[in-house]
Amino acid sequence: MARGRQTWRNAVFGNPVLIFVTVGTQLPFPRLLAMMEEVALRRPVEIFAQTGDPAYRGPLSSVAAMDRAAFEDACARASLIVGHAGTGTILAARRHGKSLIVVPRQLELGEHRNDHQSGTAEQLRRIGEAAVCETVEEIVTAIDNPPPPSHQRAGPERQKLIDALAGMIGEAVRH
Amino acid sequence: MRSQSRLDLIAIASFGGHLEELLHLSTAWEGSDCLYVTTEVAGADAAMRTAATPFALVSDCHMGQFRKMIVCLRQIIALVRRHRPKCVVTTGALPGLIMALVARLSGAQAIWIDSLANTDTLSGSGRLARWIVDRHLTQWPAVARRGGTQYSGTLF
Repeated sequence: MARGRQTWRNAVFGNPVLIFVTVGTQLPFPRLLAMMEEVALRRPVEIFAQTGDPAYRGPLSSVAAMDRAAFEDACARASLIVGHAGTGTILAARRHGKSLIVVPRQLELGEHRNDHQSGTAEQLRRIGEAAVCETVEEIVTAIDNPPPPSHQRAGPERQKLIDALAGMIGEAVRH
Repeated sequence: MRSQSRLDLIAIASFGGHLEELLHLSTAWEGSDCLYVTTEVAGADAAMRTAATPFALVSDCHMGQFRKMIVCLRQIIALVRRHRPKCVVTTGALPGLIMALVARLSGAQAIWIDSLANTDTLSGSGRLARWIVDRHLTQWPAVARRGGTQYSGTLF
């Protein structure tokens, strides 16, 4: 409740919460956009959405698709990012050090070709990264109390994979 | 007049998350001449142009889209004929699998890195890739434990 007042105060005195909503490059995600339209009625946040849908006519300020520079710019300007549970979105939040809210796409609603986003969401919960939300209420709660910003994992596992690949490719290219 | 020299590497991934993962791994081949290949979807051309790196686009296709798969296959055959890569690396999805197949048939090495998104089992293309590629990697130890692939680190 206190944080709800915080966002109102920010909106009145400047520092509005800027939210970048992204649905990825493969499929639209109308359910997420509808939820964010509802969020916009409940909190004085500024929302900009990459909708993946050239036919989107809802009230959110939006584009269907973005080039790389525009996408990076939107991530950089955002106070927090709301997206589907796609790897591109997660990697982008880490690159920019932003708090991330994900709404996993559901296979049974026809939102994806497989159920991998549920698995991804489970992994995010396991390591305590991002806020995984299913309802408007959960998104609003996460906006009032954002999860800690995702950070670039400079960890050993990343370098291990890069080194393994470098070895394989080096070997192939030397012939 | 066809170039006699072979390109070191073709790095291919479907535009979006797959390509993001590929780019995050790209320091692994920074010493090699590399052509990036991705799929022709909205925003892909503009995105690749800002990257200022040699690239080509192929038709996007998914399992079951036979006409698109044929178009993609033809484009990939043309790329492999023209560039004669020594190696191809891909994070998927289906266009990456097609490239791996054509590359192997041309005598090149092929490396498959299953996407971060497949936390539990290999993707459909990833499963097929086991029969085609030289090196097959997953980014989840649990997936490696099921067999047919190897865990050597992760972007997660």
